[in-house]
Amino acid sequence: MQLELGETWPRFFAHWIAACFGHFLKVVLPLITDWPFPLLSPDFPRSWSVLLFAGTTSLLAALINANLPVTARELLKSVAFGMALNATGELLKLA
Amino acid sequence: MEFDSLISRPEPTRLRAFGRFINSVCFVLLLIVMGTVVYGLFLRAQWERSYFIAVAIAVFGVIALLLGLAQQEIAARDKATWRAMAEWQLKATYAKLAAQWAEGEKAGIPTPTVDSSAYYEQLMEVLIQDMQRTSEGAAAR
Repeated sequence: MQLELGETWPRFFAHWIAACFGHFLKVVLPLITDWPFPLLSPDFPRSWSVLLFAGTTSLLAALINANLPVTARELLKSVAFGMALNATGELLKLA
Repeated sequence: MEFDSLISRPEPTRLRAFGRFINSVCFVLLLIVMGTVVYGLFLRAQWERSYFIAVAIAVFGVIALLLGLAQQEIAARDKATWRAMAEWQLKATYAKLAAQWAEGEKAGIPTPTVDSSAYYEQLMEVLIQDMQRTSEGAAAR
């Protein structure tokens, strides 16, 4: 009997995308919570730098979660992982 | 002979219903997360035009993830259908075998035990007959 699901590229990419969404959630949530007052802060990062940061940190989440099935439940775990990686990067002042 | 114990299928219980409920809640949460990200990037794009590229990439990601989820769902359903079809075939075979053995007992022929080769011979015979009749019926139609 097969005890492990195993890693596949579709699983890797699905969890990578989900982790990137988690990463971006951490980036854009301040915009939504400050909604009535437009955020004009000039230190908001450039779009390409956020994309690069999200893509590279989420690679770790995707590598670890690549053997999980592509279901809403497991994708939500990847989203949380991406958000946590962003928080870690911010605390360590990586970006 | 108890046929249902040969083909075990987990009964729908309260725990399984709870699992399905959690699955749907997770799907709604995932949709909320994706919607929030796209909306937040769109808000930012109104102050900095270059963010429209990020919005486009996020929308592409949403489509890719939803397609992946749908594909998984369809594959799981196909698998369940094939499993059900095989189970019906096996149940029909065992029912036919039981009738055959009951007639044999009346005529004085002992019913073969599970560890005898006669048991498997008769099982395969009934299965093959059933499959042949099914394919002949399909060809006649």
